[in-house]
Amino acid sequence: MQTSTNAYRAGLIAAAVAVAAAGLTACGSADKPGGSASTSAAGAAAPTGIADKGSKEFTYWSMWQQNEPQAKVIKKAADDFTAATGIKVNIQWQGRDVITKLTPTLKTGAAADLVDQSVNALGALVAKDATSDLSGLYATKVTGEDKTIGEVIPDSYKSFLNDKNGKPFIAPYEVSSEGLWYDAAKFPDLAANPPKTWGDLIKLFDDAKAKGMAPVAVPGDDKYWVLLTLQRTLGTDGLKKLASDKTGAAWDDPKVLAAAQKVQDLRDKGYFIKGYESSKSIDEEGNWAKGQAAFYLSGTWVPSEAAPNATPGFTFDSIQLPALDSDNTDTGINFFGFAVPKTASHSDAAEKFISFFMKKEELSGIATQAVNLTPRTDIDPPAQLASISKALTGTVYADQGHLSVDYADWTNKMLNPEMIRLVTGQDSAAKFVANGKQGTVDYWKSAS
Amino acid sequence: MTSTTLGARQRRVQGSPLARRRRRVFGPFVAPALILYTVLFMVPTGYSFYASFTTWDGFSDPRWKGTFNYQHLTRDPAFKDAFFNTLKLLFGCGIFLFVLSFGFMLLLREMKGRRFVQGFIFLPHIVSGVALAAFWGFLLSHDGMANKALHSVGAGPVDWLKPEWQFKAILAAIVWINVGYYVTILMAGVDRIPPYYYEEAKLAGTNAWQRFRHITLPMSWDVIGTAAVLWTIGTVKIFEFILAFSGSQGNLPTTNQWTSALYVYGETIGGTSPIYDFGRACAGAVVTLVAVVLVVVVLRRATSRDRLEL
Repeated sequence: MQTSTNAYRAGLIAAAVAVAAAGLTACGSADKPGGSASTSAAGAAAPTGIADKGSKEFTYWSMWQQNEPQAKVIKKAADDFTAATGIKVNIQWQGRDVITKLTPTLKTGAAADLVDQSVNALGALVAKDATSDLSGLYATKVTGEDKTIGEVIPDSYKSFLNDKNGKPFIAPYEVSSEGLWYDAAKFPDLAANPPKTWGDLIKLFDDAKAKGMAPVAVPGDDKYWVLLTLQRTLGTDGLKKLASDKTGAAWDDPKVLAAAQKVQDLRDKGYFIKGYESSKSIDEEGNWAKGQAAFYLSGTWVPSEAAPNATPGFTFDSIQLPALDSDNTDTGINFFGFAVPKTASHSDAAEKFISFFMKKEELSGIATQAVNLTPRTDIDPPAQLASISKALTGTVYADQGHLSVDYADWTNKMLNPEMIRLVTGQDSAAKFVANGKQGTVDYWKSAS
Repeated sequence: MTSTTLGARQRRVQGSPLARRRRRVFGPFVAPALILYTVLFMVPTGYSFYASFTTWDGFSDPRWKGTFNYQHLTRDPAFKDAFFNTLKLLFGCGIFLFVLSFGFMLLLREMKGRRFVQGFIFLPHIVSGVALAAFWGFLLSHDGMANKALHSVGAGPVDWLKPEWQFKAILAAIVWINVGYYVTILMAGVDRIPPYYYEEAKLAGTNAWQRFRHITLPMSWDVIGTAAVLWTIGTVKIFEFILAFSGSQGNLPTTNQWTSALYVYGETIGGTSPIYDFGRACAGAVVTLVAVVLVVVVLRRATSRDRLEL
């Protein structure tokens, strides 16, 4: 019986936590130095900034699966680290739900000394005050280099890497963002002359139509078109207000309707590829890479993911959406990186590994092998991502306005379904706005 | 008189030496299962009931919130979707499934090679839901097999999986997955009916419908009842098919495709930014559990007949 199974599963976690809490709280607090000691070490003179407990090994729970390119880069670094320091790295490839798996162990002494995930996913640990303050690590020199970790991470990124007390909780090793992807072999002049207005963008889509391609590949459950158009129209704060304004009045701003209307027009005027309503991102990414559509709005993972499907000569490149009403041309940014649970018993070894992995020689693998962006500006981005990398040197904002973290429930239950209804034409722009307003009012009423 | 009564009672209590010995080993035999069942099942269920009255992130200590979570459920459109979708599965799918299963069963009984066909329609039931979801996606996607078949006869394409049809596609898939299983159960029930009833009925000049109405149906009634209860319990378990079919890249399906199992998942550890609201999820699970128990009780009542001894 599923209810019972769920009940049973929830209860099992409860039992585990309860037993652990009762029996082992002492252990938990004894293990705390992992967090607090490194903070004080930052202030103290310790040249490394890491409170050395002399650990000879540590356990790393990874968000990657063993065969993923990122995993290979990290595995190589771990082997190099062991060879250089003699500290053993116990790696477990847990996959994307690593944080969910780790959570039940946190109270009693985390099962892992090092974990990695996106800023968003790690947010769940931060909310529970379960991550170590990495200030000490940030003040530590990158292994074998002159600069500290804090210095190799651009300042414009820092505010997104801090907890509510302004202390860093994540050491990012991969940066992601979104762009409008295209084949530069088919649009050779586009990189030099990106569209500056929505009108330019539409003209570009008309060009694609004239070339016999569907202008835009878009999955039926797409969120980027509506979200990014709203962000461009309202600005990042305006976007957040749609969620935070409990009266729903933020939805009355005519700009919201104008943004939604733009998305509706894309559909109504036939710019979206045929049959997209029933497709998923993986299908449309493939359609686009096979040349069935000219543009595809998605993340930095596209070049590595779509490469096997790409037609010969396909040259990956991307542009950013043009400025709209708000004149906002900021670029959304998301981070993947390491965090050290507060109750980790070998936090010193884990932090040493981070410092080792951040060195140019190791971290470059993320760009060269995994075809992704790193936070270090002195590591060349892969050619496919050079345009996005350049965009990220400008002003950045937390990807998707951080809605999926700050207002996760609202986003899952209200915004996402409404965006899908708009993109797939089940609702008009006006209906989207009306539903969005009512949905937000109802959401806050039910949440109070 | 008193001593006679006492003696009789004692004899009843003690019974034969065999019964006494049986009683002695009863405890040791039952205890392991009982302890396991209590620790792994009853206690967590009880705890979930308690947790449904708290705010709990599965990590910190639960905080007592009274009926807050239940009040929230009445206003939460996602829970309403999940609950009604579960009912749609239970009754909508259920009625269709049973009619279809009966149809298949009657057809198969008269057929040559019935074991093969039965095995064939049973097959989806033993394949993992995730694989079936992938197959169903291939079948119905815009470039999928169904549209290719339509194309070859000059028709289509049809957007089978457009958002407003997606849950219907799930309902159809659930029927497809389960029909073989229920055909097998019903077939086993019907196979017990001795052929001479039918022979005699045929001699009496009955038609096929009359034989079904007056022999097959009443004599397999207890099997139908059990199958209905199994189905009721099974519907609240439907989870991984929907997650694999409608979710993508770690994202949850949209709430209009949630069932009560997905609701529990979505409110706790599901999705790319999990919510960890175990209290609310437990409340949802409790409401569903109560609803299912009610349906099962009603079903048992409705289908209880005197068992026919064959």
